[in-house]
Amino acid sequence: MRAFISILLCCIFMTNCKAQDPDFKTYLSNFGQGKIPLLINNMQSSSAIFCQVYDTFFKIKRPKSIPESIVSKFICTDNFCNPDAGYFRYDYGVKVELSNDFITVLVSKLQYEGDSEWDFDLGEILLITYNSKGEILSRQSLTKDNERWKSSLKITKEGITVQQIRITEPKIDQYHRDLRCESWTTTYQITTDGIIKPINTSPVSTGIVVWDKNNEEYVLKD
Amino acid sequence: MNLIDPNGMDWYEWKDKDGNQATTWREGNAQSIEINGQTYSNIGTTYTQNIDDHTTVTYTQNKATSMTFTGIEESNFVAQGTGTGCKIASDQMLANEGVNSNGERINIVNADVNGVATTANANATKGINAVDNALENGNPIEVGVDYKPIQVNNLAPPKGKGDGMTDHFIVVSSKTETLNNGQVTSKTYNFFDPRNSQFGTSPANTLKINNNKLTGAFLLGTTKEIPYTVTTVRRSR
Repeated sequence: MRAFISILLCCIFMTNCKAQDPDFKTYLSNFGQGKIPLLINNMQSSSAIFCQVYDTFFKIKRPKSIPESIVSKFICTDNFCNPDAGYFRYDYGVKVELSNDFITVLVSKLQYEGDSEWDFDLGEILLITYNSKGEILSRQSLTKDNERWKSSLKITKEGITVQQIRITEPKIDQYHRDLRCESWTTTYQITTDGIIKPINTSPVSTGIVVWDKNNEEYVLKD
Repeated sequence: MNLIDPNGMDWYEWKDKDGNQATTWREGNAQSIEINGQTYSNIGTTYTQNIDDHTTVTYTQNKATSMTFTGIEESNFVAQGTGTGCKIASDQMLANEGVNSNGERINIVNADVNGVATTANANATKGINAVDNALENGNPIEVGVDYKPIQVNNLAPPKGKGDGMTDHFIVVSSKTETLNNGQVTSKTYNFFDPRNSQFGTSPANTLKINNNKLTGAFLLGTTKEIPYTVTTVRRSR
């Protein structure tokens, strides 16, 4: 009986190993490991998630770019990433342990330049779920960040909460001053089969973002 | 000054209400000391001395450890904004400091068929020297950078009139030379980037010499970076 179980386990192990694409294994090995609850709400927390490589020349931790061949295989399938609209750079983030049934990763997407200030150098955080073979189960762009957009992201076992701030000041001619904005909160849940679903979006509220001198970033005024 | 064992020494500074001041490096780590009836306050183990309006030397104990040349003040930064290109904004920054980008164009790298900078060319040292000379004279200098994997703007002839590799223009704002026993051991260049108001003058915007190329990155915050390689240096006339 014991021999039978051992052989059965070996077969299952070998089947799974055969199923997993070596490129997918390499791709996953470049992500860091995120801890739940995971919060990205300022430069420091963002750096902890997305600065995955130490640059010995500049002596700082930096974002680690995902090669284009990997991007097209594991991120930008089915025109999800809109590659014709500009050039996008993708960086490794972290794996997030949300379920044993699927793999969850956070990827940083950056658009170089853009047609308007709303999409100029726009950064997004992508949440992607995969099955063990490396097939995409679900993808969602959770946040937007540039001079017009600020975001705060929280991931827990129970769900995902994104506060999105849209700076509505007519002209951002001078930085480091109070700016008018709108904000709203969207919640998502991931189903047991790995599908990311928006659950709720709050009404839009107006407010002010203020410059935080110590952390050199904008924060929403209470 | 001779290099002395730095243990137990500190810098002390005296200032009066008329703005007169003096600085000295003395043994001990007392909060203050008396010299010729004047009270000097302890300012720590490092001291940055202004040599002129654009040059400073930083001492760690009595050893000069770095020298910084500044070409442009932060108040003269110009963001490109909507509809204004990076070249115009960079030119405006230079104009605010009384210089321009109308002089010699020194292309300092080779590029591949996609317009991606590859290796330093024979003019690289000349171009880097031009950057050094401008900053050492207290002036900023404009440079073009490559960062896109495919050339979109500044197409080379016959498709355009550009150099076929420059994607963006920035202004080199300062350089810091690290010193060891009076010798320059490394150089770090800071730049003002017109593409973003919030991080345009960030001290994290740096370039270094790597295989005779000036390379670095513009950091949008800490996690989104745009890697730059300097392609062309635009001297002032």
